[in-house]
Amino acid sequence: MLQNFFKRVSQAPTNPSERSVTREFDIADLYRGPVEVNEESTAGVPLDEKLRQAYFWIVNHAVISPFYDIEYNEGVAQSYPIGDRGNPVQLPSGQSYCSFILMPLLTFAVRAKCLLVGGPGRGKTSSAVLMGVLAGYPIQEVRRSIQKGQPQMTIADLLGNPLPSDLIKAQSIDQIGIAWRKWLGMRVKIIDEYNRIPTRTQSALLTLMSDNYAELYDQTFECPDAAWYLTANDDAGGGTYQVIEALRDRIDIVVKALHFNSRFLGELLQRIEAGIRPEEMMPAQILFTAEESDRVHREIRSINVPAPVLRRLEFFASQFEYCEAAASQFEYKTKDTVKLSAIDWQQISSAESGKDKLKDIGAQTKNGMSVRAMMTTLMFVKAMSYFRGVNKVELEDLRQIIPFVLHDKMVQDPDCPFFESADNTAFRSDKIGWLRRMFDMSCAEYDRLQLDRDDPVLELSKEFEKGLDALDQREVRKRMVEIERLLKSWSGSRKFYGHMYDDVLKLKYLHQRYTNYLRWLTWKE
Amino acid sequence: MNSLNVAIPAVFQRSLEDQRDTLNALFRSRVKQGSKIDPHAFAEHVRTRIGNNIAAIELVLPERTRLATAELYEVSLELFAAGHFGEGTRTPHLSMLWEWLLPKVAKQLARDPRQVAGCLSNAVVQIEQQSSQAAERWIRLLAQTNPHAESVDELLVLGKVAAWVSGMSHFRRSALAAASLLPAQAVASLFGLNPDTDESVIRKYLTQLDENPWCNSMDAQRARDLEVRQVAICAAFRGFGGSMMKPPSVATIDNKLMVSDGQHVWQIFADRFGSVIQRIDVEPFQGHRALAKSNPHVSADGTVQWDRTTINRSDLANSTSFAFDGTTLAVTIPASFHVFLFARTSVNVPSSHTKTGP
Repeated sequence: MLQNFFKRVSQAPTNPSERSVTREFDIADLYRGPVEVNEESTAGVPLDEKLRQAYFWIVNHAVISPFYDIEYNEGVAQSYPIGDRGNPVQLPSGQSYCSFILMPLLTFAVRAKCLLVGGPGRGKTSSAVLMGVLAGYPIQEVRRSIQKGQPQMTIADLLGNPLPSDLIKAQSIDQIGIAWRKWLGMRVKIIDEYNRIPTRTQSALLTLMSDNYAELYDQTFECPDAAWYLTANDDAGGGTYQVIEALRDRIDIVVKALHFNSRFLGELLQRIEAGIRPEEMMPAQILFTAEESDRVHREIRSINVPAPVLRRLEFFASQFEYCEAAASQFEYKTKDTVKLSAIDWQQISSAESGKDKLKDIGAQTKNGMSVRAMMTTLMFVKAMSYFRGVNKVELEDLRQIIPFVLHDKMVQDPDCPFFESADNTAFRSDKIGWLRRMFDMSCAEYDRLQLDRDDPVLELSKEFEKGLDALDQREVRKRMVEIERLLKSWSGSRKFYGHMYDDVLKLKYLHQRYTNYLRWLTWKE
Repeated sequence: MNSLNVAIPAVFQRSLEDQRDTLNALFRSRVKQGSKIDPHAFAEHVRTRIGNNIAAIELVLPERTRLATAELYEVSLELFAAGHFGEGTRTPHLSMLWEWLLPKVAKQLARDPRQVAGCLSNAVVQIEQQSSQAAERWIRLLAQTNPHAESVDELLVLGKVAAWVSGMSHFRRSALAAASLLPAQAVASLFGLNPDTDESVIRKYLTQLDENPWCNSMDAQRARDLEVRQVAICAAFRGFGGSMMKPPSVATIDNKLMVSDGQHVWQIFADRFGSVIQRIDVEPFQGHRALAKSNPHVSADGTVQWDRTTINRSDLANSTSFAFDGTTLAVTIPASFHVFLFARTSVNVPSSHTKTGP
């Protein structure tokens, strides 16, 4: 009986909602008609529905993780302040999700790299193994393919060995055949306790993760696109080896394994008594073939990110790089300049003046948002929207995804006055909450500035994007004057924030393009 | 083009004799199931069209002729049963496919006869429902580009992209994704580019096509001024083979162009290769003329204002609605069942895309 329970899949639709009225026509329909053929079929359950069924199977039957920390609301949500600090417990009014299951699943869908962190026995490896099974690999194969980080791990352990007979016979290095490790060719790759891998082996892993190929004795092995799962008990330097920064940077998303809720001990007992391992009982209808994985990836990429949502991300990302005291030339006034100079951060940050450090979210970090982080954010928000069965990204998707993408990428400055406030001290340890609060603050500032209605830089950019062709000198001069006027209106204020920094640089760019065009026009006439 | 032969190729005759009982049983079974298949027309089809294809297969993979005979026979039965072959067929270009194109793709047909004949026949049926000319264009384009396809899969991908290029604009997005799977030379051939065109230029062209449905190959290779012009006319009165019961109006939903005759709604797909409307299931609407500030804009006197370009079109005076999806402007007028489409382009739009007169 219990075995049947584990074979049960949530009935579609798992997220009933108003769907978009328009649909994307699929070219695969071309080959459907009176003759029955085995052309790629979109019949049956749509893949976003299948992804949701996989999520609900894992969350209901496989991993006991009763946390709904990714909250969506449809209308008003009930909220109750709890405890001395009065932090609210919210009862979401929309379908909400458990990040510990959802983020690895989205990683699987977009073939990204996910780090699962948390204490021992919290289900990190089990969760990764489930993703391997979801990709259609037999459970034994997934278990055998796990790379277990340990201090003696060599590059050969990770990648493979030269064939001994070839080592003797070979006349040149390219004649040495390599017995590549089987896991390299898999679509789900699992590295357990990656912070216990020696530094040298980490470098080989870096090549694999960043360039998707392995190299030994001048021979290379091209790996297929894969979802990566890395686990670590303690990601704050508690591993045997310090993880090299470039390797950490390759990780797209970080998820915390939360504690076991003792109210669910009964379910554990049931499993022990029945001798059931959920990962061995995954129903066939939620497994993804390689072709289906490819299609999911394609469909996710086609999800639309509306311009107003993109603008919010732009605004948020623009707040972090500016550091006034870092340089005298405007372009170099960045936190990156400080980092490269190896000067004490405290010394520089205390020299920043004129800004309200409680309100300026840029003051809360020691670095800016990298291009890689922005790309990962965009891919994951598309995946989130796809998973929810919505065909365009919503602001809430962005709000929910940003903390997990930036978890290890934004370096907090715990000495920032923002964290001194009693309401905010918890953010020194709660990175997810901190990053989400920063995004909320950014959105509030965006609304306060009414940038959806009045964004002169956007207007100037749009005007420029129409092209320079056929513009006469008078029009070009008029636009240059507009840029100069805008800059002049900003130049008097001492309160200069990060988002204005990117705006000024954009204005300078536009001015320069117009200057060059004007010179050419003058020469032509 | 018509290559029907009177004599049955010897290899085909042997294959038919070997499988005579099975093939006859298949025919009887179909008829018993209620399919109205004219035995004489079917026998003629087997003798000529299947026979010629088997003869072509024998030249490339003789060991596959027996299997191909059985599978082409089965596919033919399904097409006859659905009324696509035989007297009064609704799909005249199926004959062209079986007589002219299939022998040209004998290499792939031999490898997987059911898949190739079945998929390509289904495609002709689909395209012919939209436009007979598009079906012919598709067959000719596939014949021209087929040498670039090595495998069955490549041929089928080629067919998908060719369908879009032949005028199935509603497949644009997924066809573009499919085009990225093809070798550069095949893409060049499909889009009529010089075969020596650098791969990076071709990929750039695909990106441009993705961004702007009205981009043409010239744009990919050298910058030129784009002009606002009428690029297509779509939709028509139901009595003349179209879909509209009343003069329609247009609007955008989810930033996509829609047309409604007050009873039903269709999505408009238009690009440099053609225009198609596809029925969708939403509430019918009455379109309206946009605010005076909108860009582009159609004035009451029929003037189309798009950025700094002005086009005087007195025939569009008193337009009932207009809508813009970012690249294409759709306009309707009171006395016409058509939707007039405008875009910024340097394409010389083929006459098939611009019917004249309301």
